[in-house]
Amino acid sequence: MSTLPVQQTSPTFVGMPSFPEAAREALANTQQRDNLRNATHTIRAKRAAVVAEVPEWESLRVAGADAKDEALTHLGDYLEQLEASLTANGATVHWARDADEANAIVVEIARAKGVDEVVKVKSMATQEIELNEALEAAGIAAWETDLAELIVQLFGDRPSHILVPAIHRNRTEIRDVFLREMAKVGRPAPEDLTDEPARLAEAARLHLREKFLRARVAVSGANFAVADTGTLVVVESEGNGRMCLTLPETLISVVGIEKVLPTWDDLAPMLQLLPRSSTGERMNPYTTMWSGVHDGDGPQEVHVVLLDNGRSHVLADTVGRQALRCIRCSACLNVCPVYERTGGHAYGSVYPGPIGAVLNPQLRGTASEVDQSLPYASSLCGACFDACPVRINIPELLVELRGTVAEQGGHRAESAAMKAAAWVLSDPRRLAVAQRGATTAGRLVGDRTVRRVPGLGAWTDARDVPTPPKETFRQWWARERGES
Amino acid sequence: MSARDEILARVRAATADVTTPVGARGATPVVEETSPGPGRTLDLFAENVADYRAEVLRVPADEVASVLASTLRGRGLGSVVVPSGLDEGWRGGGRDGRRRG
Ligand code: SF4
Repeated sequence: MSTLPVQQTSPTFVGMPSFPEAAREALANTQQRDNLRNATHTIRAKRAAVVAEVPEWESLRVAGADAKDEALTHLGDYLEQLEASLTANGATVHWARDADEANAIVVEIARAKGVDEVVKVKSMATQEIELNEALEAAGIAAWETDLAELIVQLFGDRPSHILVPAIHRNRTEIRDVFLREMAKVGRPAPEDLTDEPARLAEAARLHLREKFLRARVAVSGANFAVADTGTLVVVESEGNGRMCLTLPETLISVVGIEKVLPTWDDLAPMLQLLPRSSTGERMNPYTTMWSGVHDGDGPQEVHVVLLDNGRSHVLADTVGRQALRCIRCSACLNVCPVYERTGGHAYGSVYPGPIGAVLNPQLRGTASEVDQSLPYASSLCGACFDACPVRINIPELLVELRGTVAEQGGHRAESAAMKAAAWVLSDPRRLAVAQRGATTAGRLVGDRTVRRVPGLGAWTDARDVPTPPKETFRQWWARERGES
Repeated sequence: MSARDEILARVRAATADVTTPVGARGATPVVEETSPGPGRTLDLFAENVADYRAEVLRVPADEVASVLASTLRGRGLGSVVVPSGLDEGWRGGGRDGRRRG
């Protein structure tokens, strides 16, 4: 294993119960389960429809994965190129080894500007480092500006889905919190507010507009950072990002070092893959790109904080590094049968779902209980790999991580089982044979539910594993489509 | 060591196994779809924009100004902001209310 430093688990998640424990609690929350089911199924269907429209989808996936692999395997070179391009464009580049360093850089810039508030574009990197809390501790308010994040922030919650962070709340709860909380932090909600979506959105828009026009500093992340042109890219749906990225005088972007793309042309596959996979749209409504500072147009001071925080540790694992290709589209969450039932909080991190189940223990190591249990938060059904626009083999990584966990602890038999599983999963033909074996078992077991499955460990205590299907997906596909 | 140098040293150590030179993949691969022709591309664009609930009006170039003006009037709008570089012809006879500073 690599000796490069892992990410420190933020105080919020220290002592987080293991996945099965947290999941048991979440399973009892019916509201959340209903919302999750509706949301994941709707997005799933939309995604499938717009992906099916693109005959070159598989070539796009390969191109996207190749672009990220080129960047990741030569990350040192591309980071230096990115720094040089950004600097030539008039941006200031900062480097942060970990969350504390990144937070300190942002706080210092905001302080130097003499502001007591910043507006924010939704960004997973800043959630990961808990920037809002760090700013607050420094007496600087951080206002989230997209609708769902605003809701989460007014509730004082943590997000439970990468893309639909307020998925665990219903409309009446949202109206109530608008009426109660908006007045405390800015423009109040109209007194006659109802729970109609249009009225809720309007109340949020008016509340936020006041903040966009007032704020002098904005903080964002970036979906992509193009090395050859020094361009940062943010894609979004609501236009609040565009407001943050263009109106304030100073813009600070916190960018994970894995966000680098080698060339401008690499955006072509990425900008086709991301919206279709993410929201099931052909194109996202707003794509904002900025290359440094432009006289008289947009922010006049542009800062970029390049963040490691465990990423180099992930990069050192030759199999595991593919997880850094992730473009945070959330397709794997929406197709995941486990996530659909447990929701995001059970994963004990800002990265939930299948990608969270691999990335968190990769970034943070497997010392804590939650990080040891995450690789088991999966039935290895493979839906996540099929959905992933950059072809991250999440099942393969889960199996590898289970091996790591088992090797360090007392799960020796499990370790051997996982090595065998890795062998099986590494080759589609072996997998097909094994799956036929499993469905044969399914016929023998009949309709009884399997309560414990060897190798699945504690996870099966919290969730009954359905009886193995009589036909695998691959068999069904071959039968329906006449292909194999 | 500065954070910059340390991070660069870390990622170089992490990728020490890599033997391919940087840029060895050659030109950026392009995934192409054969163009269905300008006419069909235009139809497709109009369809997709309409799918985002935009109202699509297709007008000849010399009618842009009058259609714009009547659309704005139809919404009761007497003034509108325009970006710099807008085709002068599109403003038609509209009064230039641009102010500097
Ligand atoms: S792992 Fe793949 S599917 Fe999941 S969020 Fe990342 S890019 Fe999307």
